Amino acid sequence: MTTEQTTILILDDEPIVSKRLKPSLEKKGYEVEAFTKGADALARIQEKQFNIVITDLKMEGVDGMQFLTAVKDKYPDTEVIVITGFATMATAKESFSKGIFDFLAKPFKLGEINEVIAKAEAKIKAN
Amino acid sequence: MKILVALDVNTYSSKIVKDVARLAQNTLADLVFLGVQNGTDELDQTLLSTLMRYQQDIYSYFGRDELPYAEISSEKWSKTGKGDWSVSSKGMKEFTLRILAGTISKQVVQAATDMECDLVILGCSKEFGCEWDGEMNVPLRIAEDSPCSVLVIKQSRKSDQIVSILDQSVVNQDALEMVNQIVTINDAGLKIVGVKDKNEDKESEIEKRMVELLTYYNEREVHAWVKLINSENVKEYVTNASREAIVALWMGGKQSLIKRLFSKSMIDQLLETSKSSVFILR
Repeated sequence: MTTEQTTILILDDEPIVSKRLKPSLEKKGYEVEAFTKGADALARIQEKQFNIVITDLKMEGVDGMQFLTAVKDKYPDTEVIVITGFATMATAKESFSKGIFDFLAKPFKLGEINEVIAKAEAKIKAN
Repeated sequence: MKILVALDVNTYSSKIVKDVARLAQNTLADLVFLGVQNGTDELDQTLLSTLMRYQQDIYSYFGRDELPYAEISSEKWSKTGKGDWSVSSKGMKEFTLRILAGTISKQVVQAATDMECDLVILGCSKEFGCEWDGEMNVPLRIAEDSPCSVLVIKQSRKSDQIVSILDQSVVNQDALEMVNQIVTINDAGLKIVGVKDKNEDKESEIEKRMVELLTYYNEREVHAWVKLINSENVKEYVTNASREAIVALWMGGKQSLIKRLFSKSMIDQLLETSKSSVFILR
């Protein structure tokens, strides 16, 4: 990765999530791209590696688990943060087995995800 | 998600630990266990050891290598203000034990506000109404005044159905997500009940809202039923539903029809009548 600015991709089919997250993260200096359709996000990761990927698991027409698997397969050093409104032990375990950085159940406050992103960023910079 | 659990030394509190553990296991939530004591001079050692025991109980539900919280040492308790003691550990997720001095309902609401919690959980007695340490109005006050959603567990049991009552007011995203988590964790069916004002037109806002919600759940392969009832029948409907299911009341904005229909005494009545849990959504 050559860019100094930390890049973040957000995938959530509920526009309100990106609408809330994107401006807040951009204000903190991150370069953010937000997607509501899994196919678009999948196409984008073929073109570009992001430092951090934030993805929902249960979305219309796309399996978030498949998306995060695709991200980790292609870019093992990209840190993936799962956000889900339908959290289960099984999905948490499966997500961690695929090497995600953290798992956040919705609802959450912006401060909570900001803290997780900062930790992921610190890990990336330390490596 | 950050969950504040209000606990004391009574049986109803110890009985909700299992439910809290299940929620924590599934959501990997940050947890705050809050106890409230009367005096301010000395830390109530009985309450302290009870909270420590509940914390250990939660940890015991997690498998080896699955615990997202770090160990907490009883020696690390510190006084952080007048009548305010706490200890916390940061593993992947944070676990805080806190004891405040004062009035239970006020301190729970204040702590939920200060700590930016997403959900408050508390138990209450099932024998006589919905009591907390002999007082009838504690769960009601917390449900009424809390800045976030509140789950009052009257009897710990897995519910097959969540009955979610909503009106024409805006469906708050946080409340929607909270219902989703409870439905998922209970592996329960979701019944969305719309309350229609008798003066509304046929194509009312509530009908549109319910169609939107049904579409939302269908897209996520969550099986949901919808039902429309008139406002004059809502109290009876909710009272009956609360006997078996977890009832979730969406207490919307200022214009909320449910808020108007459910006066304090009605929520109190619901807490008294319910045989399982009552969920106040915000």
